[in-house]
Amino acid sequence: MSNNITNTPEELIQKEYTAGFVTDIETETLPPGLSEDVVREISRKKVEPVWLTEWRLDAFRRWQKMDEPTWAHVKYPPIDYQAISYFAAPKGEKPKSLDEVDPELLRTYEKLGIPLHEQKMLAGVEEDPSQPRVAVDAVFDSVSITTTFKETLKEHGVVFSSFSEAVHSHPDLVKKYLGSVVPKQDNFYAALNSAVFSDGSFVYVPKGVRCPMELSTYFRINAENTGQFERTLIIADEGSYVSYLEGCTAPMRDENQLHAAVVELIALDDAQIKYSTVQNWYPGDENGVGGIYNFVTKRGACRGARSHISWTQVETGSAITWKYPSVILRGDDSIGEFYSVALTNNRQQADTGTKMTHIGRNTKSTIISKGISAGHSSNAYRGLVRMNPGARNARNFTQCDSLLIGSECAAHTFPYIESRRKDAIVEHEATTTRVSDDQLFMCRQRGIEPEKAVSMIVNGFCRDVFRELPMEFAVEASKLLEVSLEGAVG
Amino acid sequence: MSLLEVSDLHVKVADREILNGVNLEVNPGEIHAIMGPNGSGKSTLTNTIAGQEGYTIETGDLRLNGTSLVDLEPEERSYAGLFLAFQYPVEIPGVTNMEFLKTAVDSHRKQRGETALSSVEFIKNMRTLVSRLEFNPEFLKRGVNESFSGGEKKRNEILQMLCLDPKVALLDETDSGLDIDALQVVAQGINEFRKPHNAVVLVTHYQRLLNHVVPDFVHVLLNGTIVKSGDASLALDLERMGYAWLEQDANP
Amino acid sequence: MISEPVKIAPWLDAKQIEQTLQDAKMPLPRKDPWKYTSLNQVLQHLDGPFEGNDQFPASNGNGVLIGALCDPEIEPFAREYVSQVSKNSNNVLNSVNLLRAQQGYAIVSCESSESSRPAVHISASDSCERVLIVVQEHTRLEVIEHTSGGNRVIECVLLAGSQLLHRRLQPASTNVEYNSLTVNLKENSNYRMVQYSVGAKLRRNDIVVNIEGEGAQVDISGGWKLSDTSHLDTQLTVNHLAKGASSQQKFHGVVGDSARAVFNGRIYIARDAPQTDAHLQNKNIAISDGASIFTKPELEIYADDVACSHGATSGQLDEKQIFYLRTRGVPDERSRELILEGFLTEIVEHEEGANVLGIEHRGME
Repeated sequence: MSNNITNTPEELIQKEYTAGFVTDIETETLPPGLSEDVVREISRKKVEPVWLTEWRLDAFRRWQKMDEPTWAHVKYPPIDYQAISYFAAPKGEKPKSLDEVDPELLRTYEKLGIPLHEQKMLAGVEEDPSQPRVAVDAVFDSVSITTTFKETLKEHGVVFSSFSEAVHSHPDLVKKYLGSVVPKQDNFYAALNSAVFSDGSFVYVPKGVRCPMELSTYFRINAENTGQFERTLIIADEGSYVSYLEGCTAPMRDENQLHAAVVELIALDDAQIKYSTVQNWYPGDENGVGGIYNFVTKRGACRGARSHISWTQVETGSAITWKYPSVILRGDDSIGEFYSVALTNNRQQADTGTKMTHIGRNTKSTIISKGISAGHSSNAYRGLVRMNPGARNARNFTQCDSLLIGSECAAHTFPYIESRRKDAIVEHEATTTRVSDDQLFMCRQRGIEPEKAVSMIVNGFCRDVFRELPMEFAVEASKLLEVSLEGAVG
Repeated sequence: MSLLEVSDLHVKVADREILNGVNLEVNPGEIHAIMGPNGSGKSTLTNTIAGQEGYTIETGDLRLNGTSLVDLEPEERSYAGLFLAFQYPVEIPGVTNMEFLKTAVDSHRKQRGETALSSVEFIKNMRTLVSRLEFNPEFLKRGVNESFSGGEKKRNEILQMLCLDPKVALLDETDSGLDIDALQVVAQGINEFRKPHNAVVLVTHYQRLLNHVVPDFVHVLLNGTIVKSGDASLALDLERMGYAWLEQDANP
Repeated sequence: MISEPVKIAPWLDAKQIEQTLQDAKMPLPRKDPWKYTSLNQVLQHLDGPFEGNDQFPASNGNGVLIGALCDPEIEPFAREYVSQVSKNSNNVLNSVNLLRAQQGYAIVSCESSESSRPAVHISASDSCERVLIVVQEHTRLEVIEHTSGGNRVIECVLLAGSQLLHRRLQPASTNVEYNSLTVNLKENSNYRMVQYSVGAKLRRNDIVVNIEGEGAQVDISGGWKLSDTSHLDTQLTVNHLAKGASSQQKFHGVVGDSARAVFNGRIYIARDAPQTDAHLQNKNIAISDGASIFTKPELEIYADDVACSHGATSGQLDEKQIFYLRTRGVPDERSRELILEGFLTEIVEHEEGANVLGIEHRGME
């Protein structure tokens, strides 16, 4: 006889992926393979101006000469870029209004809990003005299905549309800013994206406007053997404010799918952009079969004085994550922030972090990173804080914590600090801990079931980051962690 | 029927026998004190009763209200009405005390088939309790034991005990490391908790807590077994004479 | 292939080492671990020429054996450990050293008592040399090492229950210098190292510590004060390969003029190393606008039952502290000196080290 305690923390973790269904819909797909012709074909399908076609081709030619990066702490078999299809879209004309959208697609978003009906949202809103509204751009495989609340936003002068639409409606803005933060040759995946990007979201908030609602893009990969390459461009003009949310899911499939997005943010004088992501791409099964390769370049430019960009990310999905949302702090007194929770389980691998490049005077950056590794997963934080010689009185604070659950997982921290400025102050702290048996026992003694206890402890560990998320997202993020930590007991 | 019954309990820790035949019977309304020198097996006894991993019961039984605890998980023992105030309460960073207590109370309510309390109601209850114990209400907003002083951690254990209202409360060295003010708060909490239908088992090194909470029975644990039981005056004898005289009795 | 003996260790085959060198992956310039220090400059330096050196280190006491690697008394140790201690460190420059070394010698501790431990002085020289240090079971040894130019590769093994205190003094120098140190620790051994560095044209210190025995303890600290255009690069890796061991690393640096300080502190914890306690701190103060600081504390952890932390800071003198001293009547300039001295004193643990850093020694020996 003995006190038979059977639940170790690792046994409590068994992830159930609820967004793993496939939508049965007719899709128009380009055959696998990548060439100048394919790039031209994508551009032609989107009826793009010549300059953009040329821009894509230039990116493609540069990409051909580049090597895939190998420095990240992740392992995967070589990707055959000729085996991927670079374009997939639901068949037929692009719907002009929600009524024309294929009901099957609407059902998909409903199942995912994404509101595409404005009325539904509005009904609740008018009675409760404190309830924030969310406008959604829904991207399904390579194209944007619909963007909600466009009219309401238009009244405030806010442009929120699919990228393809912006190319036609706001060519000057697109031409001016596209590739201005992430140049097309920036890195291997950014170059690939620049050549073949299909759709994404475009936001412009004019001078002095505080965007009246949260803007949100929901990315869904559905088709088989395709990659998703979206491009997001957000411009906050002087004195404006916008909060933008991004969500992602994909069906459960046995093969790996590539997602290589580029996000560019531009904040001018006194503007603020808050960019939040809940990344829940399919992570693969417990043996590491399938899942999304998430190789994403996200960068914000604080161009203006007193501008402010913050990245908040909750990463629970993807087989492999390679992602470093960064901020270039060029404007004096500008602020960059990075708040991250990355949870890896089973065979997932994440190499994620941020770069804060301080160029302007009195620039400030804060990095809070919480990595949780469970199962056989590997979770790495990689960061760079650079204080350039002109960054007078620049400040950075970094807190980087890892939580290990089980003895088969791994946690790494690679923070680069480069200071070329006497009065710049950089502080970096990191700790590694685990969910201790004593913590678990204390919770259980008080009557809290082990899985609930682990999820509570993990949530507590992430508190500093969740605090930065918009309300609905914070709840979603917290639930997502709970789902990830839910599982068979005993 | 007694509330807590420990019969002929033999416990091994890492292949070493720590308890060899402990017997204890605690009835409703009683306060028991278990005293003994370091290494006598006091914490092993409380941890075994609460179901801590690594404590192997070789033979013997543990019963609460007639139900055997031996095969129950720690949380099931908690639902059965057992509470352990830890000697060294651990920290759970980022999880607020309020959240922790609500999760615990809701889990208990769920077990009893009751619905969860609304947050408003729960917070109101907690505020009342906290002010009665003269704790700073800020206490509830802080992370569980996160950068609490030794005294604050022990008060927190008492708060949890009052909040969960168990049938049997085991207090493992709750008095150690407390200044006189904190000791009084802890004693006040125990006296407040005490009812005709519940029972308290105090595990302690020293007599000083027993000046504030008078036990009905005092047991001396030595080398893994109870060598002597008596009333409150036994604690005074121990204070005066130490444990050596009992050691001789125990090992003739 | 005809074999050709290595000059300092004739039982090793130079041809074979050359072959492995050719097959080995050479480090890449401007990539870790050569991101901030010119690999070419170091490789050029290793090409020589070096001044010869035929001096063996001196010992102040008994109980220690010092001699050439092929000295009959030393050879058994040399055969067992030379190039073996560092074989997993993946540093091709160690093999280059083996081929070029003009002299190779070993220091073997044989006995010591509670009250005394032999102390050995390794003097500075612009030569290319190979050093083996063997601290035998339950013995204690102190090594005071001076470096200034040249290329010295030290392999060091601490056998069960032994203790080594290693003081490394790196005075000002106008040379390029490359030092590589590998230390392997067996059960319950104890390695303590303190490194004091001031400016050199280019000074690179590679330190790899492998904790191979349970319960071993490592304590490494270092202080640097750099000026002019000097360049100091310290690359420290502590590999926890056995359970229940602890390591502490603490480095404080002051960087002035247009000097560059590079520090990389890596803690690696293998799956087989639970109950590890490992901590690293690197603090830097820049005292001039041209100064550069590049630091990267790394953690690579494969075991969950561990307590690890690291921290790194880069900043300037705290004006509040200076103000406080000035209100007490200490002039501005002197206040700054005092605070910097205090900052470095946290590392300093003996007189000679304080002398290298040019500060007053206030601690206890």
